[in-house]
Amino acid sequence: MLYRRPLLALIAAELISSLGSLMTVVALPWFVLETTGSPVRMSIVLAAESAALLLVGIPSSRLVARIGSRRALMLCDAVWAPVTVLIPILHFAGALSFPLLVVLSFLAGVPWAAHAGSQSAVVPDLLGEDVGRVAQANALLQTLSRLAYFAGPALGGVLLAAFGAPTVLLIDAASFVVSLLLVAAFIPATEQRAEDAAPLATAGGWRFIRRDAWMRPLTAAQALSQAAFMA
Amino acid sequence: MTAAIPVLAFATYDRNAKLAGLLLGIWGGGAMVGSMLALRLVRSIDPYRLGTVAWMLQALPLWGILVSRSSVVAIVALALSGVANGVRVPPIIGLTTRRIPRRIRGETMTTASSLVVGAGFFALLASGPALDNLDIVVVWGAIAALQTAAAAIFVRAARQPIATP
Repeated sequence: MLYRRPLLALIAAELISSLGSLMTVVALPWFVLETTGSPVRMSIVLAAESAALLLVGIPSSRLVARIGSRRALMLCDAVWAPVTVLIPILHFAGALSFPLLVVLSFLAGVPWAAHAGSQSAVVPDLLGEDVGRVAQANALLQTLSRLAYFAGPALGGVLLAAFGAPTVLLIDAASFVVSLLLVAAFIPATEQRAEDAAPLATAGGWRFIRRDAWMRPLTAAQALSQAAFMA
Repeated sequence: MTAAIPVLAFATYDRNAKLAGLLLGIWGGGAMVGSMLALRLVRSIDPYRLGTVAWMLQALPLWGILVSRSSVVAIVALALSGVANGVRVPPIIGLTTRRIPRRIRGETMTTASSLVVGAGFFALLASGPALDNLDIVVVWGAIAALQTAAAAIFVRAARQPIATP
C-alpha cells in the first residue's frame, strides 16, 4: 500500500511543505521582532493568520467543492508560495510596511482549512474506500506530520541563526513550489466534483455535518478535544 | 494544554522551565509514537473500537495530574495521553472520510477542519484570562473535563448503529 506512487507523492509533499511551514513558525515571529522590535506587532501578525482561518475557513469549503481536492491542494500551494516569498522580497526592496506584512500574514492563513480538508479527502481517492487502508495511510501522514512538528522548528532555528529569517522564508516558499509540483505530477485527477453530482453536493459540507448522525457528534467531539489541546 | 502546561510547570513545579519543555515535548513525542503504533493497529483492530479505547486513554491520564502533584506522574500522564492521541486520530479520519459521500468529501472535511481549529483558537483566547484569574488546578480540571466529554461523545456515537447517508 505504501509503495503507491501517488500516495508517496502526497506524503512527500506534506512532509516538505510542513517542514517549511514549521520552520516559518520560528522565522516569522523572529522576523517581525527583528524588523519592528515589537512583541505586540508580532502578535498582530500571528493573529492575522489565525483570523483568516476563522473568516475564510468555512466559505473556502465551497471552493473545494467546486474545484475538487487535488486542485484545491495545488491552489493552496500556489497561494502560499508567492505570499511567503513576497515577505523577504519586499523586505529586501525596502517596501515591506507593517500593514502590508499583516495583509500577507492574513493571506497566508486563507488556504489553511482548504488544505487540511482536501488532504484528508484525497487519501481515499488514491487508495479506495477501505477504512483500514485509509487509516493506515493517515497514520503514516500523521507520523510524518508530527515528525515535522519536532524537526521543523528546530531546523528553522538552526537556519535562522545561520542565514537569517528572510532566507528561511524563501526556503518555505520553495517548499510550497515542490509540494505543488509533486501533487501536479503524481496525484491523478480522479475526483468527482460537486458540480457533477446533485443533490447532496448542493447540501454543502456544513449541512452534512449538521444533519449526519455520525458527523455531528464527531465534529463536536473533535472541537472539544482541540479546545482542550489548545487551552 | 498548550497554554496551561507552562503555567502548570511555573505554578506547581517550582517554576521549572525544563519541566515545561519536557511536558510539552513528551506529549508530542508520545503522539508520534502513537501514530507509528496506529500504522499496525488499524489493520488488526476495528476502527470504532480502536478510536473509542484510544480516545478514553487520551482523556483519563489528564485527571492523574490533578490527583498527584508529582512531576513523574505528570510526565507519565502526558506521555500516555500523547500516545493515545496518536493512535486515535488515524482510524477516526479513516472512518470520517469513508462516511462522507465522495462528491462532498473535500468540502465537508474543510468545513469540519475550520470548526475544529476555530474551537481551538477560541479556547486559546479564553485560556489567558482563565489562567490569570483561576487556580491552575481549576483550569487543568476544565481541560481534563473537556477531553473526557469529547471522548464520551465519541463513545456514544460509536456505540449506536448509524445508517449510511
